[in-house]
Amino acid sequence: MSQDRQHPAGRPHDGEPHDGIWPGEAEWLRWEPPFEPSADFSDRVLGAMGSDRSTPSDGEAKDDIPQDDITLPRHILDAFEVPEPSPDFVERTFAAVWSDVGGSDHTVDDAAVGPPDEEAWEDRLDAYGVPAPSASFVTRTLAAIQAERGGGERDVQPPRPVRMHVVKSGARSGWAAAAAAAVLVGLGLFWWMSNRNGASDGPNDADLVVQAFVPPAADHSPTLTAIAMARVLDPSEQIAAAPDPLLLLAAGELGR
Amino acid sequence: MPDLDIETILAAQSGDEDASRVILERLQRPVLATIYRFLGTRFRKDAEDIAQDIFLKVFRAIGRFDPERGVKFTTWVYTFVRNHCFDILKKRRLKTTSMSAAGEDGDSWDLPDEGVRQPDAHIVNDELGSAIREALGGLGDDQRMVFVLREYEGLDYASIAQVMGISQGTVKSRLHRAKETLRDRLQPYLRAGA
Repeated sequence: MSQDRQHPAGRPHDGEPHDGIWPGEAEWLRWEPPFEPSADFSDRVLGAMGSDRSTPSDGEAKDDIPQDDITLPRHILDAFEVPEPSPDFVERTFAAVWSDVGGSDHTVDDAAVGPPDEEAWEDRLDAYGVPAPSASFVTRTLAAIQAERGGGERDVQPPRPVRMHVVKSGARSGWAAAAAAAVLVGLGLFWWMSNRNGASDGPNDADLVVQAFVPPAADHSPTLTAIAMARVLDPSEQIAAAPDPLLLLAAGELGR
Repeated sequence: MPDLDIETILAAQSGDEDASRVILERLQRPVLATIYRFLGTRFRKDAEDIAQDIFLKVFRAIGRFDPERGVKFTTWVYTFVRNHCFDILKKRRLKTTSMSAAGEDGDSWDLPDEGVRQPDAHIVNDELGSAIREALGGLGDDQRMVFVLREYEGLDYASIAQVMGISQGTVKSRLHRAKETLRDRLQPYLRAGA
């Protein structure tokens, strides 16, 4: 590398703009690079880039590259045996191909396909392995347990009692009984007021209400009504058996 | 391998079921063998699934095969095999052992050391099979595919060039380098055979 290239700034140049500090573009282009890669640089880079290290040095059929003139013994190559296709490979593949390309009338020959290869499934399941515990897992876990026990000797807390849902009793059940009785009295009063002017030809309002809830074939006998009333009025039944609105309505007959 | 007759191909292109089955039956073994030898034993369980995917692609595109273009149908199919196998390797980032690395570090190979022992006769087949599989696996992808197509499938240089998308000269040089590598790697067995 010449001396003026190492110190180009002050070198005069004819016909080129030169500010005395920086060289012109033409002068830049004439310079040799400060260093050049070695001859095998590109080969080494390309060789490191691909998995196929032969590619950059193949030479694309250059004259100096030897041609295919090596013969390997056949018995060595034939030692690389390949398994035969499965008996059902053609049938399975053809079914897949035919359905893929739109063929509609092809059905898989079950006899040709044969039973499923159970061993293949086992192989696939075996391939889905789980990692074994690390060698120090037991040691670390025991150490953690020991540390926790030694940290305070805490008493074992009894399990938290489970709150069971129980039937309310006492004052609350008394209020429920009073409310049911009030409903009953109201219904009876409604029925009595609607019938105090004597029987009419058609059904009155209370009858319509009752008929809407009670099937026509239902027994309207006083016995059923009495049972219903007994259940409603019996405090022991008020919570265990919820008041049946049908029976409550039917009980209105008592006020007749 | 003799190519399929043009009538069968045309019939398959028109959707003929029997012709399609003939193509499938004729090509199943070479396609599976190429997959198996190129991808290696680690894909043994997947080889048939891979072959099925390739045949699906072939039959989807069979209407585009043009016999007038001077390409054999089998060569056309091998192009699908090559592309699909290369895609698999690319996706799974399968790292193959490079020959140059092996040359620097001979311990990475399981072959017996030179002069230490010779293969015993009664185990030579298994050991030889393992040796050739490992030696092939040590080749680069391009070299290995070229070698498999040439030495196992019997394709001519022109067909391999069409499959690989390279010139015939490159095919020859890659074959030479592949065989050179294999010869070095299989030296104990070559001497035993001699």
